[in-house]
Amino acid sequence: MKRIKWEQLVILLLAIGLAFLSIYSYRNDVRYGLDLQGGVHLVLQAEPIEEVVEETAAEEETKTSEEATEKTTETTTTEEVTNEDLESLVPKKMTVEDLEKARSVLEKRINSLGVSETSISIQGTDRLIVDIPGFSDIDQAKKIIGKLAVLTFKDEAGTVIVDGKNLKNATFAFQTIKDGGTRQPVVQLEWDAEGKKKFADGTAANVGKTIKIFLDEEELMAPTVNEAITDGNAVITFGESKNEDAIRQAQETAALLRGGSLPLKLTFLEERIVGPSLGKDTINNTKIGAIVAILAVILYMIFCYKMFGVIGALALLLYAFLYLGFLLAIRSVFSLPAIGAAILSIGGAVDSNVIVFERIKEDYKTGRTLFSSVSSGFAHGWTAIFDSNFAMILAMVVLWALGTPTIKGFAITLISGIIAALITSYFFTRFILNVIAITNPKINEKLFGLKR
Amino acid sequence: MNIRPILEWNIIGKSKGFLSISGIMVIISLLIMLFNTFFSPMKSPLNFGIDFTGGVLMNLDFDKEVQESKIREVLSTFNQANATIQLDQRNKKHAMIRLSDVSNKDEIVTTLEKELGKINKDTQSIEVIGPVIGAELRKNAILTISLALLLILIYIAFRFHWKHGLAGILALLHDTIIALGVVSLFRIQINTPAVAAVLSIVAYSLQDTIVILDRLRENIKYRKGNQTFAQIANKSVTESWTRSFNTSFTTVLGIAALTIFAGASLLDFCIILLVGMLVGTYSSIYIVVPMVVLWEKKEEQAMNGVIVPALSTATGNGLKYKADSTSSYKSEKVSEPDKTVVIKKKKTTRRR
Repeated sequence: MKRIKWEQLVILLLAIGLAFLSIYSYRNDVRYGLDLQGGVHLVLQAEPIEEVVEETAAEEETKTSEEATEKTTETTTTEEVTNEDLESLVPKKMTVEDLEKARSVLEKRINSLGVSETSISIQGTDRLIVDIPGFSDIDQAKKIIGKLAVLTFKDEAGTVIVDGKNLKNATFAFQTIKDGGTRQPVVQLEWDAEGKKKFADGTAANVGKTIKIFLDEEELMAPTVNEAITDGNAVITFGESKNEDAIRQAQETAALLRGGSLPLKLTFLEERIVGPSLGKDTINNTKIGAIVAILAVILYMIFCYKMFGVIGALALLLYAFLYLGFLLAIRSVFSLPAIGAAILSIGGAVDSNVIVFERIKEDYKTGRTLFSSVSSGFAHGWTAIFDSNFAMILAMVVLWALGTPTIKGFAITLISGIIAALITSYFFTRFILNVIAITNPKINEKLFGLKR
Repeated sequence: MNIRPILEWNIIGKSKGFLSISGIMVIISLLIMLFNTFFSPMKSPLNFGIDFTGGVLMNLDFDKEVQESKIREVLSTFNQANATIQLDQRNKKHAMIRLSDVSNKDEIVTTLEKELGKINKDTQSIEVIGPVIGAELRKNAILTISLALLLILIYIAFRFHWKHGLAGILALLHDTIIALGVVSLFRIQINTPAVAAVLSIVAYSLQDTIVILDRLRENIKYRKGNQTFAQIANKSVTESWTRSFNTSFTTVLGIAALTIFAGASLLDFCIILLVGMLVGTYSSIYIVVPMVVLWEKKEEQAMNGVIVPALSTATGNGLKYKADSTSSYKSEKVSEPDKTVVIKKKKTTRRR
């Protein structure tokens, strides 16, 4: 099978093209962590939720309909209703658990919008500090976390149909709407038993009219009801096309609706744009350090493996390019932990070359031809490369699926690094080595550092 | 065939020595952590930073623009160089400082005022803040990592052998404990980046271990007639040595460059990575393989004991061996029936 495997080159070029596209389209929108760039610093004041007065009408329905459902959220609802009915303004006690829950809801919400590495901490007994990296626009940041208040669905007259407590989940999706046939961005609503009933009643009574979705006093949107929805599964559509605005709006709405179930009411107390916590000098020095590091690695590889080292160096540069494209494409945040993962995966990328080169040298020593040593060297080296990297991917997937936001960030950075390294070694190093072996039957041993 | 013999280092022959050194290092690391728990002001095995323990957040308005580096200088005289310092980008007179150690916060404010300019007492606030990594998250993280380790064990068991997997996991623990020992010794503050560094160590050690195990697996597959398991293991580590060295060396080069250039705020992070990397490379060669060899040897000896009485046959988990096959590997040719282990099977041991 002595032929040049052009298909490998095609796949390689495809990968390079995609990386280029990603770097090109996100070049002005690189996201750095709080440590490297700073971001928006917000202090939120938490208060126990007080039901909006208009809701009383709807809440009466609650009591008559399904009080049997035994959910903790519902019990608190009833409690609050009695409070309201009595017009007593005794503030509900806010516990540490409430704050903790608000914290994790906020964290999920912000991360679901693709802003990872947000750090949230509790200040004192009733405040939350939110640091969102990479934002310089306070209003945008506030918009993202700002609409955390009580979510209500109202009819045109302003009567509450159902509120956010009964909303189990709201997810962003694409869906083909029956008649049209085009795929549209939608938000899927999922109600609990009580919400299902209320929503069914509400939609039945309002066919042809709009249902307004409110966050506190602010109207979020007012979709029109096409038909009564009795099974509790509804979608809200957002315009026809693949319009990016529509997609973004749908994503944002889904996140906002999901966050509607916050146990506390949050108001902004303080807002600041803050600089990087590591300091500008550190960042600049780190950049120099990174360049020196890559140069040192390249020189060492060439020193050890001669021409193979040059191939390895090219592979490393290509790897860095693919990796950067990858990280930008998944909107990864560049921060100190991520740099740790990056160094590690550079090590992995070098390793996958070193393993192969060592094997080729060994096999060449046993008297094989260059072509045969290249093929067998790669074949043997590849099992090691594959197994070690696959085990790592497995572990990282677990960390990504179950981990905390920081751990997630670390895992995703490392996974992308591993994939970039695997692509480089499988499609670049192998291809180049094969071409060299095929086109040079008489190899200059010295140039390649080979010995028999 | 004209094969030049590869220089054989007797790594496996000295495995007891290496294992003892490692054992001692692990014990010392644990002792350091114990000492810090009971006899140091930290009162905990590791110096958990603000991300874990919380601390104070100071909001200070100076009467003129301030610089982050100047503030850090002042803080380092209070031994708090790794505090988080952020400046308001729109109002550079405002600084936000997060400290994990709250004992001398008032002195710090006074010194800052002396060195950098007057602080507006009306807007100044010093408030207690909670940890970014709460108790819930910590528990969750430990669970997650344990699950990841279990998965790795299963994967290695599936692709290699469960003994190899167990040896690999033990090596991971060895690396992590020693790295944490160093962290504890120097009382390096553990914050989110440090967690990432420790995770990196685990990942690196895993990768390095599997590459060596792969060599072992391959050499078992293509073994020559009369090699003992120890010989095969020794051949494997010798052959992988250059690769291990080159890979670690290049990675260390990278970290060293970062350490030298990036300076104080990255130093802790780099130290953890550096220590972990060195220990991780060491453990793959000098811990994982010797451990597997010791295990196999025990098994060989145990079997020899059974085998010596003539004609006894035994079965173990579907694998039969006769008196002349002294190991769990199927044998073909035996030179010294009751001593030499003869191996001719592509899979590794499958007993019990």
